[in-house]
Amino acid sequence: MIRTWGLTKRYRRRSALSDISLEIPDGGVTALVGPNGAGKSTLLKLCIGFERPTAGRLEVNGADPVRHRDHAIASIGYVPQTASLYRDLSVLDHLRLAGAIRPGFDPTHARERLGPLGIPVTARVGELSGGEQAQVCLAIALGTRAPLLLLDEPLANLDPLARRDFLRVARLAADDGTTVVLSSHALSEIEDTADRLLVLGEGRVLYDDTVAHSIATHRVIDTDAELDGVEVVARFPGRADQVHILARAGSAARGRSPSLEEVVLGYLAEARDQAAEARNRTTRGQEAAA
Amino acid sequence: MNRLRAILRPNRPELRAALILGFLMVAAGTGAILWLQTFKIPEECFSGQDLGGLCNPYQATMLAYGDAMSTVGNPAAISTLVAPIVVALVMGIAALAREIEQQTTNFAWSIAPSRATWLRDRMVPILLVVLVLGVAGGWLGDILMGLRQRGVDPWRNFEGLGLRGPAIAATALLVFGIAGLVGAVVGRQLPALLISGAVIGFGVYGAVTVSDAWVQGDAQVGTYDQIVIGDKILDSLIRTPEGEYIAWEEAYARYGSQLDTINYEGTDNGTGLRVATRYVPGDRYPAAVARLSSLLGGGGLAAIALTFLVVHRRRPY
Repeated sequence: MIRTWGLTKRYRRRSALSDISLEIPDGGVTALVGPNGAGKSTLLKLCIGFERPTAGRLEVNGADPVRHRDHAIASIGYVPQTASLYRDLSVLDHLRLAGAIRPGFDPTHARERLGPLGIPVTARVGELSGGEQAQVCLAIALGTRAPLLLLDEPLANLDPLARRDFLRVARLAADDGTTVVLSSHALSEIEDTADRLLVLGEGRVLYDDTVAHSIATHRVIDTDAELDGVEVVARFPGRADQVHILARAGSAARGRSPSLEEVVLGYLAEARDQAAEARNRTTRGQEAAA
Repeated sequence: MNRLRAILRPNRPELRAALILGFLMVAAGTGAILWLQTFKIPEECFSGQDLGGLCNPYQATMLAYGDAMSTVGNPAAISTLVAPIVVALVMGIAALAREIEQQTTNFAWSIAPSRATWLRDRMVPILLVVLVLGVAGGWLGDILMGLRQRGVDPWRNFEGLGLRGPAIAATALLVFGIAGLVGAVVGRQLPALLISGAVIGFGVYGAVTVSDAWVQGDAQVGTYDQIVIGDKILDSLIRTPEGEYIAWEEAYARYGSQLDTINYEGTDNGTGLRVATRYVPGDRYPAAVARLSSLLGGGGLAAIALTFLVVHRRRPY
């Protein structure tokens, strides 16, 4: 559904994405995770044509969002990080507006999503809570009947109950055959929703696999355990400040199965360690030259 | 119709304000015209010529008419100029700068497959409102000009060129286009408003300057008695006894004190010297107003075309 080749995006001096090549296949929920500034939102904005790549190429449902933005957007339902709705307009006005500007928009489908959540369509958006506004955005995105849903950190401003509702609707959409790409920091909460994990950090892809395989192929080991024959990914701070080790499960498997959050933390820690090592090498090189 | 209403729903407050302002403008203009027409004065009395006492009984009425023109007619004429331009500016800013500032373009541009279609669907109806208001304002302005200079066809009168008639609609188009373009580039309402004001000022000044230069191409030279009200006087000259037209400075150098006895009615004072004028006949007004309107309107259309380009390329935030 989404493919990139050497995709790079720079904002002046800062690099948001560096030469990433990836493929997000059709179907299921792909969790796009990583620290702030990892390039998650940038990747989604590139997909919908809000940003242009500095280098490389990108295809969404076979269309280049730069050259054929119309085709790309026609296959996307997008929920931005903050609900960008008209505060003075009612939910119904938004559904009508979406119907007027998007060919094939299905207002009934959108209303069906809002009904069980108790969000009145006659309410002004400005009167709705942040969670309700996010649900309206999701309902409109679903009303587009697009085969791809891009959800850009929609959980950030939601309370736990609203997050559950949101993720449940996203899961239902995926079960109906929609490809969902969900960018989020709420790792523990998306574990039950996501099928696939894509970790971005330092502007590159740190890890890419299915959730089930990720958990099955990694172990969390205590720091005092024997590490002979263990392929260590990284040490990372776990709960109660206790350091854990994420290891790839091999013949010398030991420890326990990780949570999705622990897999992500392990790969982020690995990237951080590699970046620190690279900086140290550079510093040592400069000192030697001096 | 429902589709149009849905698309224009975000702009309903401005559209309502525009319609109210438009209504007030039409009411003020129409009211002033109807009131001024109630003054029963023979048209001949406005010619300024002595008609053998014909107009003496109307002196008081003519004074009242002048007062009415000053207190009601002129403000109404100003409103026919200002209202379409204010509406065009507000609608132009609201069309894009506000959307981008409030990031509702995030919503609209992620839903609409084509930004060009989205922009067209919004701009065209708003532009029509602006143009209708401009045409109405210009039309009322022409009638008011006819009442201000009675007996002179406003379409044969250079007085108020650019401040009435089709030029109002064209100016409104320019203002709307520039406000939309600046709003699309800047993406913030207040800066867009300020920058638009400056750009519009330069745009109108440029169009008027080009138009003036163009009008000068239609100039003729004739003696003073050939001038009628409505002609555009460009320069005053002296016609020598040999039929040559020269500037006053040169005439003083050549003829000295003989010029002191010259009369402006154009009759010969015995020296053979006559006051002459370089002027544009009033019947060239339709061509002049058409050219000025084309410049202003063309600028507006160019700005709108550039707006499409900017919207196609820019980020929605």
